[in-house]
Amino acid sequence: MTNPIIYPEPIEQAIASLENWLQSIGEQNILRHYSLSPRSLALLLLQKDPTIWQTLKQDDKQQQEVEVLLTVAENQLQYPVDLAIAESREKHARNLAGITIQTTQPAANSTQEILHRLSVNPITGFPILMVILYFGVYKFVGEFGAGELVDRIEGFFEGQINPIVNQIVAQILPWQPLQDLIGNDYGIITLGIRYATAIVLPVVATYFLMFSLLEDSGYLPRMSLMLDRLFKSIGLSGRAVIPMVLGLGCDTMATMVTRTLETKRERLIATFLLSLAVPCAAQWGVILGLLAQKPAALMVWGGLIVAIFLFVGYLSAKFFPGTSGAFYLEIPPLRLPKLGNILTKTWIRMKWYFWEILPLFIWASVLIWLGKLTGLFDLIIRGIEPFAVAIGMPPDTAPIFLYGFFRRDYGAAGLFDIQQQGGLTGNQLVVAAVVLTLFLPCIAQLQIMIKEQGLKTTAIMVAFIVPFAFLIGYCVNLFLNVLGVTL
Amino acid sequence: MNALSKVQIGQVQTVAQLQTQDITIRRKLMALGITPGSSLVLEQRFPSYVVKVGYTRAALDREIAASIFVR
Repeated sequence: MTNPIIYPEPIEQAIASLENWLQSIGEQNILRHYSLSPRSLALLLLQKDPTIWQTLKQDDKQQQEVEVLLTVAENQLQYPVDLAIAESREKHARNLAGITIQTTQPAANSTQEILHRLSVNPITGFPILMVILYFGVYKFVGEFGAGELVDRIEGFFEGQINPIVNQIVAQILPWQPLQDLIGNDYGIITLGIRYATAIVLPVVATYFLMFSLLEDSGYLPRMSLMLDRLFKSIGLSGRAVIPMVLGLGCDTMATMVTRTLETKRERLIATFLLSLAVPCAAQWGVILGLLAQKPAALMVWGGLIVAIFLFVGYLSAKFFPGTSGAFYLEIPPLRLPKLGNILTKTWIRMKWYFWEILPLFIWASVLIWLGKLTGLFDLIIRGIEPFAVAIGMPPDTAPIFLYGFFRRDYGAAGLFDIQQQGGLTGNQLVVAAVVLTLFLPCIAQLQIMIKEQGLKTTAIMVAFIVPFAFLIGYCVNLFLNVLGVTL
Repeated sequence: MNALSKVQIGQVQTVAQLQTQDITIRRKLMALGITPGSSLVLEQRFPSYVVKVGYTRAALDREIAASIFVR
């Protein structure tokens, strides 16, 4: 090393003693497999590097010796050792930068800088956030993805593919139940694959496209800093904004991303809120499509879900001990995203999502087929019917709640089917949409929840969510009826 | 010595002290280049603190910002 950093005297002394000590113990040195120079090891020990200390803990005697040396250095310095080391390095780096870097006057008023200021200033930033959500999420994903695209692909399936499939199976398969497995009302192709490709995929694709765009532009960290205070009141921090926004795309993916949150408490609350009150793109896309003609119904649904999200978040912040995680985030410069990168990212996420759901949708079709064949399905549906009726739904919506157990979006897609046949009033649509939004997460998300939070915690969450969803549905229905509101 | 909540926005400040017992917060601040002796510019306080340190820009919440003292 040509020009080593010189640390304050007590630290240099501590480094020297640690170096001597490391050399004196030679082969017994528990840290020797790191293949670092004694000076580097000494510095890492002084900075209390977690990995090195973890290794050191395996040998009580060596750990004690290091602790003694460290205490001596700390007492001499009267200052945190790690801070002193960082300061020396900073100073060294600043000197180096001063010698080698020529700075031109930074453009204080570049477009990038102005856009940054507008996006984080509270007066302009919150309206910008609203505009981005309105156009990016509502207009692009909701109206274009869930409306336009779904209509077209769905129409193509209903008009072109399903009749052909039904015709073919009717000709080559001699047995009615076998025909039903592939085609007709609940067939693998006519229901499972149709739901996956025609109803869910366009919504998810447009959402991931929008998310990748926001991600690459550098806007997401700004969104986090704008929303940190609000999130603190529900026991989270600005850091949780990204998983929550991702949850509006796919809750399963978002539950995995909660791993990046700092405290166990934050991860717990985020997972809980994701599974209860954050509908995934496929779900809210379909619901948006259902309620699009009834703005009042849409407002009731949206308002209620947001209110439940905030209120349950607030309660869980009170209920779970501890404080919100600290919020600090580097804010990268705003950049014009590269189209190629965005398309690649979207493509990878879509592929992951599609292969994740397709087998589940096919299985759901098979299970429904089996259930129908054995009569078990009818039995379960009859069990659900009283609940459906209690929340003001016609009995033939009971299967939707059963589908909803397989996947929330699957249930929503089923609701879409019934609505196409013109079977529901505005009030019923709102109640069904609310219950399905709050209802149990899909099977994939449940698996990830168990993986991230353990079986016990997940079971408690589920035991809360299911009755809560129906209770809220019951209350909404009651409330609308008592007030005599027709949406 | 001044708390970050008291200083003027947009002026170059020199960090005097980090007053926090929380080692993870201190580490994070150090990693962002906020150490005693370094200079920073406070850009805003609401809804979160935004500071510029060298070529880096960082958002901090109130609690963390309260541990930074400048002169």
